[in-house]
Amino acid sequence: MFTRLPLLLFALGLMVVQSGCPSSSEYEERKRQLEQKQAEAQNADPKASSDAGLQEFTPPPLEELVASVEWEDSRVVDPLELYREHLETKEQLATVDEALSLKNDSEEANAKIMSALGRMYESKDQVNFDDELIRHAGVEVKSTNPLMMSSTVEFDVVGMMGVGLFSFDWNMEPLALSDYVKSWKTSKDKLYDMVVLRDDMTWSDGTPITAHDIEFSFKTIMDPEIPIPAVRTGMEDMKWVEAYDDHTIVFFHKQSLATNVWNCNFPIIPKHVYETTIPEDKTMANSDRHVELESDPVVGGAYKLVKRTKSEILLERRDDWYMHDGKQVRRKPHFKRIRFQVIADPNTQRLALNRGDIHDLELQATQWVTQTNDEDFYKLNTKVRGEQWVYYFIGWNVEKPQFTDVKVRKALAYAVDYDYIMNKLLHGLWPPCTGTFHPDSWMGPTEARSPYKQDLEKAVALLEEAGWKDTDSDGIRDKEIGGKKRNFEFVLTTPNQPWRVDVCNSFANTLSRIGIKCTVSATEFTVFQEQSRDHDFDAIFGGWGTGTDPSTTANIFKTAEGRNYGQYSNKRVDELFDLAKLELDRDKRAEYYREIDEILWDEQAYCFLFYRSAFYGFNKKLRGYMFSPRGPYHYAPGFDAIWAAAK
Amino acid sequence: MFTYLVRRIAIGGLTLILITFLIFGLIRNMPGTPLTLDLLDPDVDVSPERIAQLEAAYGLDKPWPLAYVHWLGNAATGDLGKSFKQKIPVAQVILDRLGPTLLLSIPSLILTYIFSIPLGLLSSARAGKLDERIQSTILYMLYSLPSFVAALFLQLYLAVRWEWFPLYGMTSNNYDEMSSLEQTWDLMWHATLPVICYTYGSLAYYSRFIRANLQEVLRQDFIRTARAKGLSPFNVMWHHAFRNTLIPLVTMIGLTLPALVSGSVIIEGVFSWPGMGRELLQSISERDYPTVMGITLVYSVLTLVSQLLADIFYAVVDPRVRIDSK
Repeated sequence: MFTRLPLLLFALGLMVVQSGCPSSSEYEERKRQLEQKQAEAQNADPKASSDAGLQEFTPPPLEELVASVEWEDSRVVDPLELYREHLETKEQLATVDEALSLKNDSEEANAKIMSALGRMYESKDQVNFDDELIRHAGVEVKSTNPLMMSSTVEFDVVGMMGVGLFSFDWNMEPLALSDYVKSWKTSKDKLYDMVVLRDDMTWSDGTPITAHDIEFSFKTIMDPEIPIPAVRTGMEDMKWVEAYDDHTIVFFHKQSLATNVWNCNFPIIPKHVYETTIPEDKTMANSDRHVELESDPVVGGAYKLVKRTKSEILLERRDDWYMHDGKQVRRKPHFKRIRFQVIADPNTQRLALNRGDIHDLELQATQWVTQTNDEDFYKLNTKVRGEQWVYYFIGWNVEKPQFTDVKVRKALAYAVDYDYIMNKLLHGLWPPCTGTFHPDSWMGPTEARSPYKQDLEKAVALLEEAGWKDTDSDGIRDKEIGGKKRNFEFVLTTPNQPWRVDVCNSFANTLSRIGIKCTVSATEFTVFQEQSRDHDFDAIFGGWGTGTDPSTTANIFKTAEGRNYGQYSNKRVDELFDLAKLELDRDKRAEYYREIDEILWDEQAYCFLFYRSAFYGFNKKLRGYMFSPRGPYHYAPGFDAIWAAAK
Repeated sequence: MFTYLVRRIAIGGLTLILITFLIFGLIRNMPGTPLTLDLLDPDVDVSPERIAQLEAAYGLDKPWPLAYVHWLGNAATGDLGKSFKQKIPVAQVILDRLGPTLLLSIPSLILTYIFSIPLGLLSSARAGKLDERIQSTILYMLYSLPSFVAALFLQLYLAVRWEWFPLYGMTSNNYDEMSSLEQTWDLMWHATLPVICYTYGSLAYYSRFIRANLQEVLRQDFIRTARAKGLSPFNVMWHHAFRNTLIPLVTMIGLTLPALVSGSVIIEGVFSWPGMGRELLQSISERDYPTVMGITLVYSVLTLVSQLLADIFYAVVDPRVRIDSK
């Protein structure tokens, strides 16, 4: 027996090595392809230097720069003040007491509750500044390092501890935060942004926050050897960031683009902490010091981390954020402590909200409709909803023979049973979507389009026109393509959440009545993403959130871009995206984007379906919330406006 | 005995290599990488250069059999690597979660035996009578009740309606300020509902198991002798019959060792209990390869060890069985 063992092991070893060989040739092939792609990218676009890192650049002296450039003032804003001004233009439709006793079962009730409870306070004694807010997270926070933020949970939690100079308001207009910025000037040609920082900000260890921290953060993000997961698109359009002194910083951009302002918005880390630790450990995760910093980070924002376990994160208000040298220099953050507890199960989350164990919750559509209408919910909470610019669509892989013809795509748009899906499955709560830009946005269509309505006769007529007829009477349409007869069959891939599968099944059902065989394939979310990226699908049921600037949609609809999963390609659209990128005038840009939107709608690049509304449950003690196209939190003032009423 | 042990350990080692190799191959070849979900945000750069850079940082540019050999070499020296997502050593991840899982599974195991043994004895003694039938029916109903349904009802009534127990989590918000005694009590209070969910289903199974074995033993001649000698029914049942049912029972304990550590994805999910079950599921969907492999290794080792222990127990408990004769 013993002699057989080493033989077995040897055989296993051989197997491993042998199986390594064919893969290793595949691997070599893939490596060669990637190197080729990189070389092509570099040759085609000399600006693609992200692989080589930052190019060396000597900035001119500050006086020279200031004198030689034509400057314009840019917006430095206190978002809470901005919000108060905005509220003055809105009528309060009910008193607070009325609103708290209402049940949110109609548009009218929703409007009343939002307008009463979304108010800011008149005087400070209306606010309970000692309140502890308990929020929840669906998954744990993986890293408290602002450079490593990659999930929504991390944006929520780490964002609260972080310091950032720029943000955007509920109209998606960029602004600099007066909490940190004294003045902000942009050059007329958009090549330079000059910011003067305030001099009364400190990190949580007492060291002052200076322009050098910002310059250091930029250099760290652009360092090709540091694996930052979520570097923003557009950062390679930045040429340089120079801190001329402790409080003056200039951002240098490579080209005159209207979108340059968005590139200045990157996370900031303390230079005095990381300049010594990063050279030893470029992963920012291995060295003992880095591990220590994960549970006790040095932060510059309004809250600091006091406790971190795998089920909970506790943040506490930093007195040294709003006080400086004994004087109050900023608004006092509304909550004394903020607790994030990990609750994975949506039903437990809802029960926790009912009990008052957590104080806010994003509700799912079913929870909104059927599970939050009773006394148990309304005892401690109320709920509100608002529009969000997140839309869902059916994405066609236009390289597949079934979908290359526009007529076919239009036919399919006529086939969807909108009434059933939107009014029954989705309870009539999600408005229809008729294009990639929302009609309320500055780049959206000037007149709202009317959405497709189900019209099976039109659908059939278009299909017949496109050559898809049932020639062999098997119930499925067919067509001769490349000499072979092909049936009109396809697989509709979707992530396996029940509501998505229901929507897809409804579509497949309708299609079977007009002679198209559609099979719904529900897959794990990660697999869905991977298949989408590799164009390994016929059609997908997906959704997109909105970027802050419409130029981010180029990544989705321009030929061969990273998120153009369906391989849609239109030369005029490509041209328009390029023109809009270089155009500085807002109105002209809007025209370009409107034309893109028209084309995408005409050509049915996607079958645009509906927008997802945001549904939130809030504890009755909370006030000051308002919805933006990105929900109630992720804009300025967003979460910062929310306060707890004193009893 | 010694040669037997050595042989079993050697075969176990081989099995371990095979299992880990298979799992490694499976997860590496699953579509999706640790980066896939990171790239969801429309504002994030997805250029091929960026992706290649990140993949190199994760060690994904190597072919997977080579990566497996690297992993095996490291694991043999005790280095299970670092979790991609959590940036801490995998060993740390596992240890962090082992405690909570054991906190639920060990009390559950103890309670299961404490309840099932008397239930089994009782149902055997009163076999065929009405009260025994009722008891069996109730136990079967419990057995068929899915754990997530039970969890939901327990939450709804005991936690939300009557507020006797906490709804989720392992500790209260002011845990850090408590004394050690209060902390222990707090943990027990939080563990109650999950432990109930873990335990109730197995009561039917174990008590039927004991009952079936007892019926078997009671048919033996030596029991008839004991009765003929005039021993009380209790004496017969407890001193003579029950001991002989210990044999399969003890081997069962050995085999349930892996279950102690694996935790339950559902119960841990519903109660937000930071245990091993949820960790494995999450690691898989995040494609956190080192963590998946670390947890797989722990489970595999435990399964093999527990099978070995079960076999040894069997030989120890039953004098009729000799290991060498196997």
